[in-house]
Amino acid sequence: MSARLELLLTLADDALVLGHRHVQWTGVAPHLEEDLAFTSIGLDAMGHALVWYRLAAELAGGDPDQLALGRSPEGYRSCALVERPNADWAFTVVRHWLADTAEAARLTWLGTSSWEPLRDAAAAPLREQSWHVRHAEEWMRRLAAAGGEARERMAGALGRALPEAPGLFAPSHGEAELVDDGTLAEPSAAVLDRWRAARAAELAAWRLAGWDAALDAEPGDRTTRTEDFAELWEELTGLHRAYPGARW
Amino acid sequence: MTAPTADAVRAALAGVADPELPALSVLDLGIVVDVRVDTGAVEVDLIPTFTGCPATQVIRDDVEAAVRELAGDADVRVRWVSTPVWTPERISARGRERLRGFGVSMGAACPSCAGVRTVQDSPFGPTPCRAVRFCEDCRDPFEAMKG
Repeated sequence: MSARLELLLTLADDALVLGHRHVQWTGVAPHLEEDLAFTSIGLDAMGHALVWYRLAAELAGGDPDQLALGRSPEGYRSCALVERPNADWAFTVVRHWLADTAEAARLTWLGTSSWEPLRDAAAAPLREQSWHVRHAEEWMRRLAAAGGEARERMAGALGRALPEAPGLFAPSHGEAELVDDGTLAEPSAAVLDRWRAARAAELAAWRLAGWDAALDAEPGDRTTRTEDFAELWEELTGLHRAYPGARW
Repeated sequence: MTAPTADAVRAALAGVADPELPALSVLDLGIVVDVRVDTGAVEVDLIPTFTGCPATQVIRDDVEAAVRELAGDADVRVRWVSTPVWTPERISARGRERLRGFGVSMGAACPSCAGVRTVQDSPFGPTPCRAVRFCEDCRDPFEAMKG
């Protein structure tokens, strides 16, 4: 499989899985405003996934729906952090902040690609991503300042999420080739370094310092799915697999 | 039957309403980026307002149906492209007028009283492309296109 295709599927799978986790709040969020927010943000993420699956289908042939929903679990390339269930509100907010700021950083990076279709494709998602980041930051600030139970839950959430956060930047298979040919202006490791520094500064500003060291974990790779993926995959792909070729 | 002109195709698209904002046509909304007519084919390029717009299937089908009525034997190809990026600035003057009548503002001004004493209620509204604002004078919420 070509390195470009690997990149596109990596981007798409992260967006699809994260989008699915976000929209799992639909109907059950703590209040209506957040129900709407996460539904909207998740829908945007699905849109981003579609942008990548569509480009992948143009490159490799096939159908975006089949690419998105037709693979067995081992065939996906999503990272650990996006696969984790929403758990409590603190984890939801922390994961949202980490994953959506990472997405903004990646989209900016892709906007410098020498491959025009990729550059073009990243533009609309980047515009939409700013609303996601602002929403996440607002909640991080609010929960960090709240004290009491919020502070305890935030500590728990940061403890679980931060070590897996660098994995958001785990390179796609064949990334070195893409850096060589200019499809990627620089390696993901460089984008990760800048992102880490920015997040550490924010944690300090919110007086959540002491956690920034956990961000130094290695990004790892994307070869295995977490134990949370199987159930997510069932829910995401069940309808598509039960009724192949169904039209709405 | 000869292939239609690009102008005729655009005129047909003026009759295709956006399913979520039916007061506006797809042309008013600024989502039609190109119409190309060649011997044997009519091609229409569209951009979504937001990438996750759930109405894209319906819009695509409606645009294709409208073009087929004129196209005769020519192939009709309607596709979503990623450039340029849609922003509310692409909405036509007629579109902005129709939006106001529909209760949706282009920015901070209240569509009912035109006042500017408004605040953002939530950046997330009933569709990906609309936020919710509140008019301090009318004491009513309203929707605003997301720029």
